[in-house]
Amino acid sequence: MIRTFATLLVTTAMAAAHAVTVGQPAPDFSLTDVNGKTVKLSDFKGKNVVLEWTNPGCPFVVKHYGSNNMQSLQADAKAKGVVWLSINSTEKNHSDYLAPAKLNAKVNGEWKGAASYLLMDESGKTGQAYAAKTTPHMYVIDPAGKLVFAGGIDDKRSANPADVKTAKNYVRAALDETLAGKPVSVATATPYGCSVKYQ
Amino acid sequence: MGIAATVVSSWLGAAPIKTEHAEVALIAEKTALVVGEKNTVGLSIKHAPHWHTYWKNPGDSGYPTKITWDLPPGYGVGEFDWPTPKRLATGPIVNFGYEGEVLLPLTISVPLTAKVGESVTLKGKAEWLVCKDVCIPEEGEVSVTLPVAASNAPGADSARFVAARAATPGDASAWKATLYAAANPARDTWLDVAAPAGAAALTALDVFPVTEQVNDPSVQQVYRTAQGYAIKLKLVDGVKLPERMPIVLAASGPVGAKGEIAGNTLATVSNTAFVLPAGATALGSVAASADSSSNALTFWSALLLAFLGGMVLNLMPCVFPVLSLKILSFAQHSGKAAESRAAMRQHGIYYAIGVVLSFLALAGVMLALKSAGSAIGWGFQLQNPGVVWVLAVIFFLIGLNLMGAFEVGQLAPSSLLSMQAKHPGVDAFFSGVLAVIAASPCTAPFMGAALGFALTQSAAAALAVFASLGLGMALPYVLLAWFPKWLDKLPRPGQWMITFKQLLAFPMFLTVVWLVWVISLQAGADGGAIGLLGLVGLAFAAWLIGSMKSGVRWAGVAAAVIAMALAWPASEPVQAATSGKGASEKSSKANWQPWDPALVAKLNAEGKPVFVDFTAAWCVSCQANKRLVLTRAEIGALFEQKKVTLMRADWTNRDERITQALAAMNRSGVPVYVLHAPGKAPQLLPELLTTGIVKDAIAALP
Repeated sequence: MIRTFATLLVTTAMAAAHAVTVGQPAPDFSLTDVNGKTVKLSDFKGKNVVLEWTNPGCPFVVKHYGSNNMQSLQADAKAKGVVWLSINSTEKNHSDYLAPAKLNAKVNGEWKGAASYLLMDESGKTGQAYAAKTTPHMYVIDPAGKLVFAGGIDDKRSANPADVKTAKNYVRAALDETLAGKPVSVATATPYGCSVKYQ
Repeated sequence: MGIAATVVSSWLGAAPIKTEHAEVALIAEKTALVVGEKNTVGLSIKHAPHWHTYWKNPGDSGYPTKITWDLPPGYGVGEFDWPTPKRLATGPIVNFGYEGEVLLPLTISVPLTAKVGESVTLKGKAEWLVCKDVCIPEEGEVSVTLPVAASNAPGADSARFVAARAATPGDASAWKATLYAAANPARDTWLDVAAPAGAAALTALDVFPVTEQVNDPSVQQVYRTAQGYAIKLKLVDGVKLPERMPIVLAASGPVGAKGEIAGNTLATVSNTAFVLPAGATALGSVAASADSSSNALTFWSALLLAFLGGMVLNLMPCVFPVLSLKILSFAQHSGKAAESRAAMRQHGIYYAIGVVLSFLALAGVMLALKSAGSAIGWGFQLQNPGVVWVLAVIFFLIGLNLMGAFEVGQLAPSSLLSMQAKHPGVDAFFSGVLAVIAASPCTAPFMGAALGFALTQSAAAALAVFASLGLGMALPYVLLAWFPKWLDKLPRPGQWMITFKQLLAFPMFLTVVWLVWVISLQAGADGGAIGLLGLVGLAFAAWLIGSMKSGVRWAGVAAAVIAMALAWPASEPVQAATSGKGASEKSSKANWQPWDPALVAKLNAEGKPVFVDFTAAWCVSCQANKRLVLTRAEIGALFEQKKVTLMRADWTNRDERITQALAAMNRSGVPVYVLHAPGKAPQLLPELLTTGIVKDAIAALP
């Protein structure tokens, strides 16, 4: 009963936090990037923004970076004026945790990641505000600040890099449609990957 | 012997795939494949400690284990017969899967053309995601080679197949489920499950939607309703619900048609809204209740606890005034030598009947109100200022009477007080009634759990628990009546009795002070002042009645009626003065803040402990604990030292959230003290606090 009560409290609190919904305004946040710069979502009003939850220790993230899938998606998006924010919500005590400098060296150095900013969210607050469940978990926000896509990066739920070629990439499709001023046809998709390593 | 040799040599699975996290192998139930029979193999996964793989609906993350088959021509294989999964939580992420050893059975179809004696290898690529705090996708080729034979026998692993079938959900289609999915911004949805007739009450229920990405697995709150269970869930964003949604119900008791503790049923999806029926009580989930045996409070232990709780009630500050009245009456009885022993016993029994019937009446009213639609808890009588006012008047009149302002018996015969005097049996009966009314707000130790239990049970069980409570409370008195020798130790009657009687007026007046204070919290300072004016009017009336001639007496009665009528507005609750602000702010120091469950969870998530005092102004035990323990400087310093956030949940007036929170803790009254330490289950402290208990609890914090 005591635990039920605790569960009740936690679920109540989480229900309040999980208000993010496609078609609704994306919650604003302010995070520090791996170089110490403070980045706010509201700074990019008027632009399309992609949020990518990441964790280099996760085999599913490795799949998309090892196959160059994520980097090419990032580069294509930036070329079209899209802001790409990679967010790492791994808690400090987790074995997957990388300090900002190491994360930068791994993702932007070794992997040649091309995100606009690579952001630290050790508290997991931003991740939980978006109900980010997996790495990767992708979100697309339109220039009006409205969430237009949330979910998995593609339709091939595996850790096998070979599947990237045959998969339908939902993020690319959502960006193409929203850049063309069309409604996003697949606005939600099952996220897949490792669980986000929250506190 | 040739057959045996063949069996041993050919019934061979390939060596299991061993990784650091799991040992995976394809195994067969029987020694051979038989044409035309149900042939079963299974994927065995033995997880390293704390590692898990996933169910067909993996929950928030992960993916289900799968096999891509490479079978000989003509052979076929079905889907896994998934055993009921476990709810696996890692922080806010909730998954459905398996730990330890699991066997995922598969049915093999053997072609009619298969020849006895040939050897068949069933193989495929198995892929599984194995996770602890990190996730590793693994894969490997699994195979099992079996002979085709005319008959077969259970193999070495057959017991595991029996166990796997027992762990597989049965048919729960008798449990009629409806998913109420009216659109709302929070995406809340309710699954209403009607239990089949004769189903045992479950102490826990867990819901596993078979389809992925329908609901957020971390949100599930189960309530027991009159017809069955209601489960609050949260849909995922953008979900398109089918007309019928498959779910697995997993319970603490049988839900399957053959007595399985898990079963499949199809929920009818409705687009209408659902309102949780009044009287629904929160229930644990299977996972949440597994380690708490306390909520498996059986009927008999509840009766015993209620009985003990009733006895302890006699020692509660709010019963004591009535009890001292009764001691006085004992003294009177023992003083009259002519009074027979039988009369004494009769007196005790009448008192006991008064107590028990009052408890039953209260229980009846409570049950009626429960079903009538207001979620109320124990002590509800005193949440109504009108009731408080009536009690204040009664206690004040008793006090005046004890002081000698007027004598009982001078009033009209229909008066309650004169009845007390003229009929000893009725007198005893009403003493019992009064004792119960006074006792109800003081939830003694044991009583909370028993009452909480009673409220979640059928009406008959609830009444039995309340009756037991009453018997416990009446017992000490009945014992004294039965063994009047114990009374001999009381002094002989004399002048002291008058002094003693007058002395007893003071507990009454103290009780009145407390009741008026409660009125002032409920109805504001003006309400309290009007109440006091009314009491002065009553005192005037009593003085008229007691000291004047019979003609004036009626004027006194009229004055009493007028005083009460004028003071009645004091009973009108003043919302502004009481809701959220007045009561809690007035009665607490600045470092106590109003209770906020969301803030508790938030602070805990930030690693900060929180102490919650569930209290009410009308609860004397609560006030005693507050003054004697909680607000002591040394306790305050300790709280500050450990950075404990202090919250007060004030139940002086009805508060739905508090009533529900109490119900969730199996309590229906205050006081309740909860210490929320981060990362731990909330700790309930005893209802009678001592500085030692609180110090120990604070000291245990990190």
